[in-house]
Amino acid sequence: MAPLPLRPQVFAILSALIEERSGLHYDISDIDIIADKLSTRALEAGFDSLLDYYYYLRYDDASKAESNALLDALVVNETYFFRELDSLKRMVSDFIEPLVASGKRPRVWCAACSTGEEPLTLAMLLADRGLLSKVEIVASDISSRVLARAQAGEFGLRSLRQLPPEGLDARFLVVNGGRVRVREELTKAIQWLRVNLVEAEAVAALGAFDAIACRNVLIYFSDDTARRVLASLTGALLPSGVLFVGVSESLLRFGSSLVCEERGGVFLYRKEG
Amino acid sequence: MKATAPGVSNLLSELANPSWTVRRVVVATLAELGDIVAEPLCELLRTLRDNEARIAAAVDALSASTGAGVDNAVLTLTESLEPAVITDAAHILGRRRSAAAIPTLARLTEHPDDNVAVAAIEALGRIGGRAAVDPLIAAVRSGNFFRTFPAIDVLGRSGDPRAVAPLAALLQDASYAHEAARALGRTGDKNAVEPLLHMLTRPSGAMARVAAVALAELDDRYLDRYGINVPLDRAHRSALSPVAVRHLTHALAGANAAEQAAICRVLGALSEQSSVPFLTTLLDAPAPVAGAAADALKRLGRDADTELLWALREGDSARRQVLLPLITARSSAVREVLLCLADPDPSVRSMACDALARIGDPTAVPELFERLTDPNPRIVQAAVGAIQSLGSAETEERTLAAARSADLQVRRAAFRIIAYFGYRSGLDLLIEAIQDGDERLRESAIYGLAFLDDPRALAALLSAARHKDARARATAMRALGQCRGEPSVPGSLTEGLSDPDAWVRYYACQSLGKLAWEPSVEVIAALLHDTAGQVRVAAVEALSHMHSDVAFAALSEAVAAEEPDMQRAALIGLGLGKRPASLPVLIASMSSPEPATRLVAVSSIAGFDAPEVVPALKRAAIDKDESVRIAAVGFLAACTTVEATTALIELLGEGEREARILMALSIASEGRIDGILSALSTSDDELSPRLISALARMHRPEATAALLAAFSLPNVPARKAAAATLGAIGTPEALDALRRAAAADPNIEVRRICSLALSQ
Repeated sequence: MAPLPLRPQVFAILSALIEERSGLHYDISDIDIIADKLSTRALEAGFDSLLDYYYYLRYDDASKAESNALLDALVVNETYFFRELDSLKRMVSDFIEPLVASGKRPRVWCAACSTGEEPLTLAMLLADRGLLSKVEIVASDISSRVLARAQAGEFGLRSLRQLPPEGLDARFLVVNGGRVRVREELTKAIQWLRVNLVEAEAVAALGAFDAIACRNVLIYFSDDTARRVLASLTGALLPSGVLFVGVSESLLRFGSSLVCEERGGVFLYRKEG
Repeated sequence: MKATAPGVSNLLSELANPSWTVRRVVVATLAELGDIVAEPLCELLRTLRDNEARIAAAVDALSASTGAGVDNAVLTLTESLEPAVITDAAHILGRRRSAAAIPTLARLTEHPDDNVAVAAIEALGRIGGRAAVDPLIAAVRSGNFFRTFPAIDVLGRSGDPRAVAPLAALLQDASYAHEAARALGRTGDKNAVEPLLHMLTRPSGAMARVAAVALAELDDRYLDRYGINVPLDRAHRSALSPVAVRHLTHALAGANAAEQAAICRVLGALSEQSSVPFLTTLLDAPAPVAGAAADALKRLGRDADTELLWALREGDSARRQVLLPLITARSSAVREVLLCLADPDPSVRSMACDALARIGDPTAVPELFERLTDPNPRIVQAAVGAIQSLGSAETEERTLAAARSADLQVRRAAFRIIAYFGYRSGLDLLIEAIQDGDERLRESAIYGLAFLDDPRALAALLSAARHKDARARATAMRALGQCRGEPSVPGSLTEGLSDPDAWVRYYACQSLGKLAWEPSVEVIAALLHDTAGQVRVAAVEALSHMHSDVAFAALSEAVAAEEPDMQRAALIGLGLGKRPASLPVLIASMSSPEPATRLVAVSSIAGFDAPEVVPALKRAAIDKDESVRIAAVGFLAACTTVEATTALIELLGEGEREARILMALSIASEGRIDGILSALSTSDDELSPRLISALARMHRPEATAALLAAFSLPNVPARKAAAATLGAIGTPEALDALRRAAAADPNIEVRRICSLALSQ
């Protein structure tokens, strides 16, 4: 039971505010999950009423410090090394490698990377092929807390639940005392940024990319928000740039202008060039 | 083809367009055109069968058509000599859920062509098989694999007691056993327990797993129908065999998570102590299985006590999370729950605090005080809650000691406990803390003063209202809202309305509202234009509690504000005021594009006693936002008039809404029973069992009397549904009525159901 009561009306306005600021969408069926996290934050901030807390977030949190702390508490940090590896391999072999070979320095963005296992896996794949220094990797998340964990380069064993490709783990990961440490050259090769995907200006400010991985993220958004985020991501792709989403996600229902392609069992979305 | 209007002809020709996108648009257009195109589409299905895409599109258009005459047009297709045409017609009628087609479809289940028969069976499945049980039983018994298989499924879903025997007979046939078992589960009929348990005596792990899943489903359906499952548990135990328990526990090895959870449920229902070690092992399984194992252990009651306590003591955090919610007023568990207070997982510590509060043993209080140092505020809050709930002779002394702690967090928590119990012995400590350097401590002390019945406390509070620190003043304003009947309080609060700090003004408004202090209404109304958003909203909220014309006018103005928070606060206010003039405004707000505003509007109109309310709630019950729908159904549920009952019955639909509405209909009241009985006089085979189930779930003598009344209605579907339920109730009056009807009811189906019910 959550420490502070959350009436449906207050849930409605708080969840609308959270969606407006982060894109995270909650249904009334999520009320118990969200009540617990909201209560903890409200108590930390000195409020014992969630309605008062809502008004604080809405009208008096000019620095957005409390909003960010709340979003930190709400975001789902479900990720691990080598997750849905085929699509990252395909990104490297079919798009990044040819661009490097043509003399370009490709830009890749791992959007909503959580604790960083995805961009670090990508960095391992690139380092394995001697391409790491020839690619610019940007990794972003809405939560400063998880980005700090990503940059620290140390993870729990659950991050290794997926077996790594032969050799990769030995060269880039050190398991010691129940912790997994990533070689520093990988974390340093990545530019870690706090970016809220629903803020179109913040996305636009990142510049244009040859490839974007935004995997298993849109599922947390309502369709309207997902459409808006997808429009921002599309805008952030260079002509012929590619977007990778999670294997269980499809963009078709959002009416995207990107063209769906299948490469060796991996579905990706390409911006027409 | 016959001649048709050129526009329609063009559309029909596009049904064969190679582009799926084009065909989809054409289908949607034809569906919207309704009756005008029904006959041409049927004609096309009769005569132009050279293109599969066109046929599929025509079937889609007729299935989705809005025309009232479409069913009749499609029924003419069933007279075709061409099996493919009749098959298409059956598919369309099924997808349209055409009740008028049931007799025709029932006849088609015996068609010599398998495709036609299967399409008819599947169509009956879509419409609901209850009205065609006999043809379905015939299909099940036909020995024709293609017909038997789909009929098994539809028959199971019919929930008709006549389905049990033919389905149980199929358990002996390896080709059908698994499907028949699943269908028996779906009947929700008590008579299905025995054959399913018998299945468990066969030495097959796969069979045991299927039977367990079916028994778990049967349990769910029975509970849905009657609101209790005690008779079903009794049926389990009476058919219990040690071999069945052994096979079930062995079947766990190859079972997936859903099957394991089902096996746990069956073991719980069988209540056999030999299953306790297996269930205890499963407490470490992933959540759904562990939860089912814990529930089963709970059903086993004291037989499983030792294992439960051991599991709590030795288990890891995940296991404790499963077990702690099961701990109720069982003081033997205190020692084990206290161990959980030191668990590394904060959720476990919080749940342990809650469990200790539920157990109600005050010996836990000292260790709860130790939790006040917990780094997680949730745990501190939970520990404070538990201490407040338990109390004890020594609590005051421990609280005062904690209030002198060097740890500020402990002191703050202690101040909350002082306030809760109103310990006057803590007054000096609170007054002293008002000058403390730590602002959170000051706030706890100031707020606590409001709950001490002592003139010094009030004086200190009024003084805090002028504290140099704005947060202290804001807290004092909030606290003063608790001091009803103190003449000096409104003045201090009114002063707070002009404080330079927004949060002081916010809480001053809030408190004056809480005290419903009408003399401040004009000053508060002026704050509707405050520079701080939270103050504007608080002003609206405060005005909501006042009943003068000035307050009403200000609220009416705020409803039109651009700021959604102000609008919503004003809607709540108008709802509280319940002036008839507010109702149109509130009803109009139910069309707001903002779901939160619609939710508030729905909540606000629910309190009005006016004829517009039930129709408005009924509209809101199909709102696109789930929280609005839930709230609307909730308010209709709370309204027990015949009108609200009729609205709920008309709203009965699919899935989650169905479950919620049935629950609402099951709330016993005169209006509810009258409304249901009235609906039963015309309800069909699909609706009748649901209405009868609502009466059965009331578990009240007047509801049982209504069931007996339904049993004598001229409407046959109502009598059929009532017969099955009266058998399950089994009171002497119910059995008498069944005996009489078994012999003399004019309808043969009712007589047969009565005979079956009497055999239970």
